[in-house]
Amino acid sequence: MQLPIQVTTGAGTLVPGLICAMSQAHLSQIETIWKGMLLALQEPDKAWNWAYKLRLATDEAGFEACVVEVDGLAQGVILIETQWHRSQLNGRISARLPLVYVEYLATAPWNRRGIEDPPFFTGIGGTLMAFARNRSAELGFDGRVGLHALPEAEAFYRRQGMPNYGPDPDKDGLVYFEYGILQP
Amino acid sequence: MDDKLSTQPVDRAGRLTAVLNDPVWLKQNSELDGSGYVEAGNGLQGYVELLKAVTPEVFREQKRQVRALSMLLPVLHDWLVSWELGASFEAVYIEAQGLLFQRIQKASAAQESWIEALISAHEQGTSAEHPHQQLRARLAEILTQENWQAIAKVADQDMEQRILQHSQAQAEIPAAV
Repeated sequence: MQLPIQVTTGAGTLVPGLICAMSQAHLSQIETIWKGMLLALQEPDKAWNWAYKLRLATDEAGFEACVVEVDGLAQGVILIETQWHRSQLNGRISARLPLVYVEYLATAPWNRRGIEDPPFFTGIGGTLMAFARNRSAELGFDGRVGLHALPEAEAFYRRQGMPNYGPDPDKDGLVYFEYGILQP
Repeated sequence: MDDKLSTQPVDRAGRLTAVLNDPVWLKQNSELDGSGYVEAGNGLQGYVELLKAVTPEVFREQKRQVRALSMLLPVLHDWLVSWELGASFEAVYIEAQGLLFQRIQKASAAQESWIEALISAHEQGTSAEHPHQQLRARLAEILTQENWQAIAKVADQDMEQRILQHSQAQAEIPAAV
């Protein structure tokens, strides 16, 4: 899969990009360039287990990883699981409907206005969520997507209009968000 | 916001492409970004904690390095494609992009001033003054002789591994009498 898209720069202009399956070259960029940007900080390795798990997950059934790429460089990544997770909307486990579960969603270090305005690119997270929702519809899950947001990102998912199901004790109290079905 | 995606049995890839190229959707999407923290997944807590320690000065330097990489990576990619490395291309490209990033981070004074000129030309919309041929020549300079040796070694090892894998796999199949 390789879809041509537009990506918004921090200055507000649109530039061509791609949304595509994560390649080994992308994974290497996350492990070297994203991480390398933070080498000036202390002990970056402690924070980098997720990239190792991302590498392992790409070989497992039911997992799919995609990136937003601009000029050959990965600007954001999403890892979804499509077989085991179920919607939280129905009470009885047997009645719960399948969904796309977002194991990881991350944007590159330089794409955040919270550090300095303007960032390099904006809207990478929203683009990856649109991909996840579309993938859910494609799989016959009607657009259902679930995820556990980090506290710093809760406001982002609220702005996306994603229903909030409160803190999940099984996930260190992270708030669970879930999109219901897309409008027909 | 993504109502346009809908659940109708349509060409889903086409529908997603249309949404992700729609200027109205893109504007809304950009406005919803907020601080830029969008991370989901329990395993990313360490990553976000680390990012919170980034200072604006470090961030500005990051943006400069990313701008340089964004201009040089496509040139590097196309250059390596032209070498017709076959199945070893990916291993070579991975090594080369990592080394290029290291060189940009540790550029000499002369290289720094050239990178600044490159970024400045991009910002002023005059980057066409740096054609691919010229950028390739610069890449050849930025990467040291040691770097090129390392890249060649990766190609060598990757090819060796592939040959041994194929020959071993064939040896495990009993030969027909």
